Amino acid sequence: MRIKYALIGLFFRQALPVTLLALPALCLFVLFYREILDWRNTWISIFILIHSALLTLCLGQFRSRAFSFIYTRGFSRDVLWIHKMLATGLSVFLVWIPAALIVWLPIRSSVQDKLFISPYFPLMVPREASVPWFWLFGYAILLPLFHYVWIRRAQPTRGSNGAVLLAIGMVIAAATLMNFRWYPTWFLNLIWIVSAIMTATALIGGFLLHRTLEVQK
Amino acid sequence: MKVLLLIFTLFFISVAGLTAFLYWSSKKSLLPKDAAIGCVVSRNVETVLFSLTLLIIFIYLLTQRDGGLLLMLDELRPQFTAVYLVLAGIVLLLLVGTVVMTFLRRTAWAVCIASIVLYIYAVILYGPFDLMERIVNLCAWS
Repeated sequence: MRIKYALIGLFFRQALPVTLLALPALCLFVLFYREILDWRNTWISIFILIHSALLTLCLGQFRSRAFSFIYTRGFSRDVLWIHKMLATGLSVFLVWIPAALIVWLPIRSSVQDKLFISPYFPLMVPREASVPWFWLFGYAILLPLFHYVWIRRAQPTRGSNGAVLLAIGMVIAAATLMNFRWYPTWFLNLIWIVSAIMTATALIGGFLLHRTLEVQK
Repeated sequence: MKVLLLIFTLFFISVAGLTAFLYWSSKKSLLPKDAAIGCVVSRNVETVLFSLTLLIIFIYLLTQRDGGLLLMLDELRPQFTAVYLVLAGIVLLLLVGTVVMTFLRRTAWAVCIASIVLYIYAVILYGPFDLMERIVNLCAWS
């Protein structure tokens, strides 16, 4: 299968308003947040949750005219799904990379040090360096799940409420786990493994179900 | 106390979200009432996701924080250990039942029941009034 850049561009344009809002929001937050960033920062977790939900909302409006137009142009469902995932990834990286660079290049550290005269910087730069990877981990968990939910809702079968409730339950479970910080290594390894299985399951399930979704306009 | 507050906050958020969602979805449903409930793929995916989420939360409740005592049973009173294990077994059975419900394509009901079971279990283990101790005393007395 060849990558069709025009198709990626089309999907990317659907999510562009969200990207244009999310990019400055995250960058400004990372730049001017005065506490030390860690992986369980509540505000960034909420941001990732809302950003993921809005992205999938933009790309998964299966009752819109734009959706029915593109799904009746002769592309196979697999091609459409892969390009949608690529557009999602592109939208995420466009927000994530600048924010990560602000942390990794010592831009944030300089602002905190010079502007706010924070005593934590530049001492805390190495400690914050791993945090952007956790943001990416959050996107990797949430986006396949949310994509699965809209694909499930677009099926010509009942019971899609269960998928939505399951997603809500998983988000609440993740929030509960994030509220406590100290875990033994074995528990953290278990979370990594289970998360990887969940992401793969949601991706494969979404891919397979996408073949049978119903265009409803 | 902080944990309990968090649990109840999450519970109310989830109930409010659930109500709003059900209202929204009932207004927009275009499917006939006799349409099939899901398919094999959706059933398998939801069963895997649901069972893994339950697994993590259940292990977390059993082993972490103050009330998670599974890894230090040898330091507890025998009566307390027995009640703790019986309670964990009952909860595990109920959770397995909800996983079976998901496999039978009743995911929404399974999620609701599992949430209620886990909330009650968390309140017994971590909540106020020393509920766990009271249950142990009740069992010893009876």
